Amino acid sequence: MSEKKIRSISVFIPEEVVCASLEKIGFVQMDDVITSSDGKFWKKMLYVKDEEVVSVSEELGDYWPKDPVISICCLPRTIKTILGDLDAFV
Amino acid sequence: MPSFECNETQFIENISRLLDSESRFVVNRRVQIYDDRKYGPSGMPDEVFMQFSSILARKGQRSSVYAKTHFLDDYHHKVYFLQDLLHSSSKMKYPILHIPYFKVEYSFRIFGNSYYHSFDVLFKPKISIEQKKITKKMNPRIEEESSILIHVLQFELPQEKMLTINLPKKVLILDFKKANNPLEN
Repeated sequence: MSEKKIRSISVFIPEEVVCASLEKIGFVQMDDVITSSDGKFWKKMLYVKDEEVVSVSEELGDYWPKDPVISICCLPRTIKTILGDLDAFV
Repeated sequence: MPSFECNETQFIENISRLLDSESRFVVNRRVQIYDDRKYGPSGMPDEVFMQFSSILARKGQRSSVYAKTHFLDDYHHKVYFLQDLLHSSSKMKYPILHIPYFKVEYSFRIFGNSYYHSFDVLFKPKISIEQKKITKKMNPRIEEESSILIHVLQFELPQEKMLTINLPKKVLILDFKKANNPLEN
């Protein structure tokens, strides 16, 4: 079995689309919290599928465009699937 | 020693590159609880303030915040009364009602440089109506101890998995309490 890899990207795709894309390939939302970093507030959602984990953080507040941060710790083929799905949306 | 602050994406991508280059490094992590009035209800975005809307009122972000009803802040053992000022817009740094949080700091050192990323995870508010014993210590305006039905604000600890950056198992993560180097504090 191959080792997990990490990636973190910021995408100009609505958070709902990112979350729907993760759920489509079997990820389940485990929890969400409010975080603060870089002087901003974020809603951080954690998605899990077996040993694979993806976090989606969206900045809160009245601003545009939205660019959620997606941090992935998954097997290489899962990372490829997630990035492929997001590319397809763009 | 130069020290560089990274955002989440930069920090994770940097580690990813180091792993690809097969460099040897250790990631340091410190998780500490704080309750230092850094986060008050006035500065919260509307999406967060909504969680308090059954007990707090404000006109907008960075406006003064008032109690909408009597309530007990169970975490700090304080009682507030209707229309008490809980966070003044003219004293943003000194909220009366404040939210505890975990400060999470990650760092690694390579080639003599230190790279770090930190974020705060706020406790989750939970509001209920309960029968509670109210004592004079909770507010000087309370004349005598009594047991009453009151709104109760509790703060729930975030789950441990929400305090971490997920990294592959081969990355060695060491936890610490305090660093001697002031740059890492």
